[in-house]
Amino acid sequence: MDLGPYLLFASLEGLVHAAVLSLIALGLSLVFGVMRIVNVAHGEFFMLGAILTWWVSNFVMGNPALGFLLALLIVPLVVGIIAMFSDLLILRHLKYDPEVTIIATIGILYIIQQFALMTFGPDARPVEQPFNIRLDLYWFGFSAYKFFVIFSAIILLFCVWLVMAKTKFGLILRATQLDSEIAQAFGIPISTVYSLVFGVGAAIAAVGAVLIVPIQQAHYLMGGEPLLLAFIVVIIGGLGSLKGTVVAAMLIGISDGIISVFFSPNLAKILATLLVVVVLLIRPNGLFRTIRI
Amino acid sequence: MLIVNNLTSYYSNIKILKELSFNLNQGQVLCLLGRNGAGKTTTLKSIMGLVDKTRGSILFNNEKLSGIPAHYIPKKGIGYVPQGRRLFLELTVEENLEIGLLARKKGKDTKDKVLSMFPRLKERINQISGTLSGGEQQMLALARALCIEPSLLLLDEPSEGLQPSMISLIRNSILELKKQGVSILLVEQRIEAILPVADEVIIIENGSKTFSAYAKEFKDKKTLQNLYNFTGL
Ligand SMILES: Nc1ncnc2c1ncn2[C@@H]1O[C@H](COP(=O)(O)OP(=O)(O)OP(=O)(O)O)[C@@H](O)[C@H]1O
Ligand SMILES: [Mg+2]
Repeated sequence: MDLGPYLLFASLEGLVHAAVLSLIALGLSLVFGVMRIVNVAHGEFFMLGAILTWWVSNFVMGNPALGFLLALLIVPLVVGIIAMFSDLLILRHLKYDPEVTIIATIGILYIIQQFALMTFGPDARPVEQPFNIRLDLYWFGFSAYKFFVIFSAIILLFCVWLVMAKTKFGLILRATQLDSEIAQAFGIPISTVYSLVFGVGAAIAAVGAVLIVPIQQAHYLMGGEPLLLAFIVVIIGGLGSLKGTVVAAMLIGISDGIISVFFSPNLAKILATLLVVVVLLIRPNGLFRTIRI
Repeated sequence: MLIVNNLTSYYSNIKILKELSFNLNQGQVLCLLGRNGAGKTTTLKSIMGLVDKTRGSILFNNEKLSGIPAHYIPKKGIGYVPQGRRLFLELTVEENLEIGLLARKKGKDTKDKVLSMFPRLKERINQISGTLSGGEQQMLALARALCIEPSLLLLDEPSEGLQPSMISLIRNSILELKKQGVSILLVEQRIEAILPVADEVIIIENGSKTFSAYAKEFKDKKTLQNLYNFTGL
């Protein structure tokens, strides 16, 4: 392959990861934006989504698309409910104190990770692609499923934007984010809002997981790297900014894809982390913090 | 309609309000005066359920407010205009009003009524509230609280940082609301700001009531002198 097509290939691969990464980062950023807490367990909700997808797809015999669709419907729901319970049982009682919450979510991280290890074992679990079509792109073939991943992520991002910008629920979230005390004084039940946001944040990451397992395999340690990348994305994009999150995820995801293909995945991570340092030096609030939603 | 009895409030175990008691009758304007840090804002926040640790009782229309979750309190018909306005600054004028309307599920009628009181807000309905002038922001804070159609309105220093014409506009709104039967608990720093509207004045010092007077006593030189002394002006 020539350099041009090779670059295109690497960018497409990068775009797939960028799509999933933007979902994970969006969940993290939503939780941080509204609740002002750092959820270190976020990557484990992603991992849980992936493992549950494997479990559901094993459960359903016959056409792999059936299992996948079922997983897409119920896995985010289940992960969201688990996250809501961890908010109800743990975080709420800590009054969302920033430092204490970090420690608590580290605890949740290990609980979920060990639970996954004990229940599903240490092996990487493959999930069959729901459909196996290769699109001929003249220079190389590319899996149609990967386009589906990109497309689904775009749809979900658009839906989240729509909810945030155009609905009453979105307005309530934004008001809670801006001033939770005054939000209460106007009848907004902020603890219910917090539980929902924590659940929705985890569920969005779980959607990313359902989409990625047919490409990547499920494993109980797979939550660490996406968490790191999501942090990088959220810092670069500006905490709580939806637009910034998407742009930064594209930037990180695509450059990660290209650098990994041409050089090495490790170099890609090193450069991404370096970028965080640079951005924090020039724009401590992130690239897009001034632009909301 | 509002009976505050032996209200004691703490911030992390420091006693801020000490056995504060007062009554507010329907359609009356009760003013709280006091120096900086006396506990005026804390009193209003305690009524709104925003102070974690309080003792004593707060009754509103014979219902106990103390102890119920903060977000139920506005639903009983209590509107709050906080000190420093506390608008949702990144939201538009309309969205700020929408939050007020949502509290008691009020609709377009209420919104139109409130906007007719403040035509300047109507012209700026899609403006981001953070870009409004100080006076317009104060109007919006008041309008937002009126969107819940309150029977009790808590106002925390609404004249802070405003020029005289804007102060008189706010004052006229207060008188208008009073005429409609709304009870008002008004916090102010300066006596001149409240004398024309108050039915009763309470002085708070260090979280306790140290002096109170009814409107008819304001003409009395000695009472007036007392008021000035207590507020340190
Ligand atoms: N969130 C808080 N945590 C701890 N202490 C607080 C808090 N809010 C207020 N205080 C303290 O409570 C006391 C009373 O404060 P409050 O805001 O009620 O005064 P105020 O009478 O409204 O004063 P001002 O006229 O300056 O607005 C002050 O000493 C203040 O430092
Ligand atoms: Mg005050």
